[in-house]
Amino acid sequence: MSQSIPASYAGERSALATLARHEIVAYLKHPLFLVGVALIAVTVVFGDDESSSSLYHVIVPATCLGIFGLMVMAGRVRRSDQAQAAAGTVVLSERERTYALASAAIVPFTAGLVFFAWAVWDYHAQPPLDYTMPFGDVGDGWVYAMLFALGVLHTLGGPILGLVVGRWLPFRGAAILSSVGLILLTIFFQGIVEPVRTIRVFWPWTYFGGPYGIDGDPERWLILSGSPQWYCLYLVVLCALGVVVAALHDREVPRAGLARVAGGLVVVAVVLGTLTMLTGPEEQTNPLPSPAAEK
Amino acid sequence: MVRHAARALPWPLLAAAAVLLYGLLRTVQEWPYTVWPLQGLAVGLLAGMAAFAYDEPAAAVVDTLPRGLAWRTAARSLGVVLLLGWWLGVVALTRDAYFGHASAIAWQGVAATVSVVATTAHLRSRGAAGPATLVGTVVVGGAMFLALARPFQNQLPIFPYPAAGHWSDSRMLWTGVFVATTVWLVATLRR
Repeated sequence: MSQSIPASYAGERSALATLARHEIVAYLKHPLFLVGVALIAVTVVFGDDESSSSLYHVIVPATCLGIFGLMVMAGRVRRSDQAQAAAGTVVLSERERTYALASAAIVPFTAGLVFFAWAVWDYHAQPPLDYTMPFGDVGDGWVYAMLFALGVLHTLGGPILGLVVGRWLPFRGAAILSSVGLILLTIFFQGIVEPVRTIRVFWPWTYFGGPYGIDGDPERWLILSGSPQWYCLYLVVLCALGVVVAALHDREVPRAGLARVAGGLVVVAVVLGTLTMLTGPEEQTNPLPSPAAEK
Repeated sequence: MVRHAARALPWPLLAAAAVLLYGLLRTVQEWPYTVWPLQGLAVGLLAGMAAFAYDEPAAAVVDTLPRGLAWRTAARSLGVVLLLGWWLGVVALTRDAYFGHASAIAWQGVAATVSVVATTAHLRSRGAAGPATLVGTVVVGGAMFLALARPFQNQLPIFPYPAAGHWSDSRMLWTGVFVATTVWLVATLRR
């Protein structure tokens, strides 16, 4: 009897690993993921922006792997539930299936890393023009952190948000509405709305600089306040929180321990978000005018 | 038909889409230059959510009943017509945001929606009970990419920028989409 317990645990681990592998392969073959990768490839082939190098291309993986990933993952959750319902018997709990699904986020994340490698290479091969960014005492570390936060971590965060949506909003169209709602709110917090510029770093996608303009030069480049380095850590914690929140949906297993973990992650996220807001460069204006001002 | 539509359509979903559409276009009105991509996204959302009006989870049953696909599609179109009416109303309300191109924006929404109705009807006629998730995801995802990344905007002005011009080409393109997909829709429903 005592010998059968370890064997049982080993079997459960194996079943979870097998399901995780299955989910990774399924994600890898998903048409929307493949389309997203193809769109990024096309964008990369057509090259960087003439003025700001690869710095503004982060929107492409954030959309094609992050937002598309939200929709892919929400669909995978639905498929997983349908397969479980069709099987009739519960081989793995919903929580374990959630962890298996979460492991599939490694697929878009890996593609995001490839994009990051290109973006860093392109940033050095064809540096941004002087009137854009970075400028002043803001250096390469700021650029790398920004590229990683906006171009890579969202390829992880989007699918994990899809996991949360799939678990907690299981109605048709929820993923689409969530994606559009996410973009709408991101517009507010991307830096263009001045009253929320300081707190914008608590939103999971925001720019750290761009042609936001000043009086007399509507396209003047600014560097916004906040630390992209701390922002990276903040996003990692948000991703972990997303997995925990998705796992909390399973009511058939004890949730108290997981709820405590979620609470702890919320506290850590608030601390990291505050550090992101209070550290890093202050808002500064590029001393060089934009071409629009010179016309 | 009205009773069929009242019971069959996903009204809360369509209402949520209507609220989001208002939010998107109202945001464009507030910062037209900066958030212009939301205009294309709104067109995608309108068309993508229209697909959900045509999902028939009980297709295996209703496909055998005397009311054919054409009748059911017409009945379910009530929700889409209301959504299109809402779209036209919101575009009219926010017309000062579009640099004189409000009618072109409205037309994009109408043509995109008709193309989605045609695609969904075709997939339903081929036996797919719930094609909306697929169609909606492709349409909204595609609109998202085209609006945000704007690839080939000079060659393919699907969602032209206010200052970039190409508005007449864009209108022609959307008219082509409208005509082609209307013919496709009629052909599908006449079968």
